[in-house]
Amino acid sequence: MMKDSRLGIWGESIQWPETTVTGLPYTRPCTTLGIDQLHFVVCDLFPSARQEEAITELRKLVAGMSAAPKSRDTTK
Amino acid sequence: MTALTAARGGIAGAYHLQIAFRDANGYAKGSYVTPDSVPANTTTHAYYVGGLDSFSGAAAVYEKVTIKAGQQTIGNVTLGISDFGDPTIQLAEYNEVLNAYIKGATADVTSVSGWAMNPTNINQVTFPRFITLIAAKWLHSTDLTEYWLNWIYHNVQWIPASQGGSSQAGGVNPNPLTYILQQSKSTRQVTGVTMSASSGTYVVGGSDTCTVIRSVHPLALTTYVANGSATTFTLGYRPFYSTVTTGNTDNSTTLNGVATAVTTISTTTGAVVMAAGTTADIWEVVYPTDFVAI
Repeated sequence: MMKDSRLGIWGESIQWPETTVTGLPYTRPCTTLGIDQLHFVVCDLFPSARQEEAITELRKLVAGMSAAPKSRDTTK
Repeated sequence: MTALTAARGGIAGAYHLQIAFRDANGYAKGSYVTPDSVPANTTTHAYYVGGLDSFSGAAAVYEKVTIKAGQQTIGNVTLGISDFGDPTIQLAEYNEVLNAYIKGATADVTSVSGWAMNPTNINQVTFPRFITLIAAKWLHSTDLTEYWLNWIYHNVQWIPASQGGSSQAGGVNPNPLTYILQQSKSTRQVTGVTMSASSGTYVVGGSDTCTVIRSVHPLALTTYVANGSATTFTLGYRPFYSTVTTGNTDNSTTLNGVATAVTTISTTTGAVVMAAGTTADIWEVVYPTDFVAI
């Protein structure tokens, strides 16, 4: 699955998202919100209802990623 | 680094200016505009305002009584402070983010794509409260080592005094903007720790308006609101020290206002590793840095 450009990934080397959660450009340091243990988003400088909707959408997307069925093991 | 000894020195320059929204309990909530409702698992940093032209500290008014009798002045009694005074800050730049923050409004970059619309918000009656950090250099008078002096205003409202303009004048910063910081007392330090009349700075009544902190590097401020499961968050800038000892050595790390050691602090990635704790726990990290963003 292609990564959403609004999602960042924590790790030894952080993968910063291309835009804020609503698609705006941003500069670091910036406010981040963890979506799960691995993914995060960058909050807008001025949060709006649009931001809340986008966070909800991305939470569902990330939950879907982790719930996605693994490919069948055909060796068994 | 070894502990400092109280000393004297000369102040030089005007370098760094940061603000953090202050919540109702006195905790710093970085650049989160609704500081009393920060969602769990949020990391936020003081906003680096930049553009600092000059800063003037407050001139508090000390009320006094003069005792005069028989055509002689017997003496004066200082009653206490009757006015905190207003520190002023002059900026060389028109800062759209700062303007919107202090006016409790928004720098609108979405209504017309390609524009940034900045409000005056003339009907504003609620003025956000900020923790404000200003840093200048400080030269130790005896060993000539350079340090940083950080003025920390614990609880201020920013009031625009002069909003600049334009002119045909040349020279340095001919069109500055001036702001007044209207101070209130705070019972909490910038670190999150409460003030006390019997420890720390021993301030009367356990509250104060401003604390001046000397450090080897200027201070930055990050707050993390925990979700009860995550065990790491990331600072805004590379910290100069990785020290974690008891939460109050080189770096200040506090959990819900109490100095608490984290597990590790990385000077390269800015990653802070700590125990997961409980949802809505407030971690505050005040750390010396050279402002290299992560």
